[in-house]
Amino acid sequence: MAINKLGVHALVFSGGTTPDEVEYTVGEAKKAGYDILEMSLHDAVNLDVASAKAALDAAGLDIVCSRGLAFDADVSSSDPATVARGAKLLQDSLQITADLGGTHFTGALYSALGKYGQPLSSAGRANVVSVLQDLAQEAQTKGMTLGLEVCNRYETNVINTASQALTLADDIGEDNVLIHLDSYHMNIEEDDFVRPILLAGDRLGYIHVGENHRGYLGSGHLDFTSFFHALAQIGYAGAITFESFSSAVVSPTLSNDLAIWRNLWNDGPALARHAHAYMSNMLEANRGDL
Amino acid sequence: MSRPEQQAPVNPVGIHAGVWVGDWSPASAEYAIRESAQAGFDLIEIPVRDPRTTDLPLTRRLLAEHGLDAVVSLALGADFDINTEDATVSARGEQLLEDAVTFAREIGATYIGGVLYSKMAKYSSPATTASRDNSLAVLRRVAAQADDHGIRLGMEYVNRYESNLLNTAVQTVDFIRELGADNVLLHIDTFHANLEEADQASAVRDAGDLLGYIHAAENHRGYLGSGSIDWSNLFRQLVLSGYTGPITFESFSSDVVTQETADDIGLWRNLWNDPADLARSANLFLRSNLDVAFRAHAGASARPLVSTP
Repeated sequence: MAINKLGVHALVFSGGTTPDEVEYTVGEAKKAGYDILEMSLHDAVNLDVASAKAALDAAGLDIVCSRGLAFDADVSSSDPATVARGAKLLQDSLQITADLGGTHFTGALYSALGKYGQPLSSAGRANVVSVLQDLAQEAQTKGMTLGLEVCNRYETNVINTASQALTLADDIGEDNVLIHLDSYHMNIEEDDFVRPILLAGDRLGYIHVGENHRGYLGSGHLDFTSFFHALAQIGYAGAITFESFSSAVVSPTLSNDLAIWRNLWNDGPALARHAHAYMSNMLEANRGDL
Repeated sequence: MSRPEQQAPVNPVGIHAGVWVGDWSPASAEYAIRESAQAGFDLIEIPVRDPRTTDLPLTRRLLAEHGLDAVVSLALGADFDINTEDATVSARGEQLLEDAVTFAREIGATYIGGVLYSKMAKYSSPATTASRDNSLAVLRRVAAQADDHGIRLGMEYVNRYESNLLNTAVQTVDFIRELGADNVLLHIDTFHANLEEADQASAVRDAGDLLGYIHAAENHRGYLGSGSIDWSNLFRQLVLSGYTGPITFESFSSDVVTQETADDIGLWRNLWNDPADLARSANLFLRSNLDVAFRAHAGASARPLVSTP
C-alpha cells in the first residue's frame, strides 16, 4: 500500500468558512476517502477555529493550512510597514494552523498571491529571508514545518522553479522549511515533471496535484505518469493533495485572485472521489518495490 | 472531387520581432528584419507602433529588400480595454485598433493578431455580458474597416491571468461566430493553450476552419524543445487539419524587451541571451517538426488541404 497520505483542498467543496460550510467540507472530504483537508486561510477572519477543529477531530481528518499574502501585507516588499503586516499575517496563520491541530503550514508564504508589476528587489528578497527565518524558528518550537510553494510567474515574482525555491530555502537556512511542488505551476515554469522532483529530493515536503487547467485529473495533458514515477524514485512519503477550482464554487476572497473564470465541473464530491481514485491508482502502480 | 496532392508543408514560418528588439526605431527595424531573414524565416511579426511617429515606408522597403512578409500584433493595455463598460476607455481602445489597421496597411501586412478583444492583464473579476457585448461591437466596426484594406484580424486567446474573456479555442469560436465578420480568425498560442486546453491537438480541432495563425512558444517561453510542450501532438493535428497558415515563434528575454514589457508578461527569469542562436534553433525546430508530422500523416488528411489566403 502507498504510504502517502492523500489530501483535498477545501475549495473543491465550499467557497466559505462558516461553521456549516466547514462541517460540510470536512464530511465530504472524509466521505471521498481523504486523510487530509487543506484549508486556505485567506478567509481566516471568518473561521471559527474551535468548531472547525471539532469537526476535523470528529471525522479523524488531518489539517494542512495554506495561504498567500496580499499586496498590502507582503514580506517581499521593501517597505517596512508592508513587511510587518505580512509578518503578522504569517504569525497569525501559523497560530491558527496550530490551533486547528495542523503541523504543516505552506503556500506563497513569501509574497502576495498575484501578478506583480515589477521584479523582486534585493531588499525585498532579504526581507523574505529574514521574516521566514523568524517564522521557521517559531514553528520549530511548535514542532511544525513550513512549505515554500513554487508558483507560476503570474502568482509571484519570488520563486517560480524548484531550483529557485531550494536557493531560497538555503538562504533561510532552517531545517523545518521544505519545498512544496504543484504540478499545475510546474507545467508553466519547469522543463519537465521529473527533474524538479529529483532536485528537491528529501527536501520535498508537500505536493499539490492539479491538472493544467485545474479541472478533472486526466482531462488535461499533464504527464502524471512521469510525475508519480519521480515521486516513487525519491521515496517521497509526504502528503499529496488534490487541488481543483471551478467557477461553480466561489470563494469571495480567493477565486478572483486565482483567475477562476471558467466552469470546469459542478459536482465537487464527484470530482473529489475521482481524484482520490486517480491518485491512489498512480501510487499503487508506482510503489517503488521494483 | 479531387484532393490537392501536397508534397511538402507550405506553412510560412515566422518569428516575433521581440526576439530581436524592444522598440521599432529605424536601426531596430533594420536589425530585426535582416536577422529574421538571415535565420531563415519567411515572416516577421511586428508589434504595432504609432503610425504617426514611425517610419512606415522604411519598414515596407526593408521587408521587400529582405523578401520577408510581415504581420502585425497588438495587445490592448489597461487604459485601452474594450472589454469594459467604460465608454471613454473603450473609445481609446478602438482608436488604437484603428491605428493598428493603418500601421498594417502602410507596411503591407494583411494580418493583425493578438489580444484585440480585451486588455492583456490580470482581471480582478469575471467579464460581464455588457463588457463582452461592447468588445464585440467595437470589433465589428474595426473588422469592417480592416476588410476595406484586405486585412484580417486574429483573436488570440490567452491564459486566465492575461484575460477573463477568451481563454480557450471553444470560447473564441463562439465569440467569432457571434462577431460575424468573415475576416476575423482564430489565433492559437501554444504557451496559453498549454495552461487552458485539454491538449494542443484538441485546441486545433476546436478551432476548425477558423484557425488562422499559430504562435509556437514553449511552456516557459524559452528555447523550443527545452520544455514540456508535446510538439508532435500539435504538429500532427495541424497537418491532419490541413492548416497551411503561418507558424510563428515567440520567446522573450529581459535582455531584449523593454522593462515595461517584461513586467507586463511576468518575465522574471532570463531563459536566453543570444537571439541569433535562439532564432536559428527555432527555425530548424519548427521546420523539422512540420516535416516529420507531414511525413507521418501524408495522404491521410481529414479534409481537403486548402490554403488560407
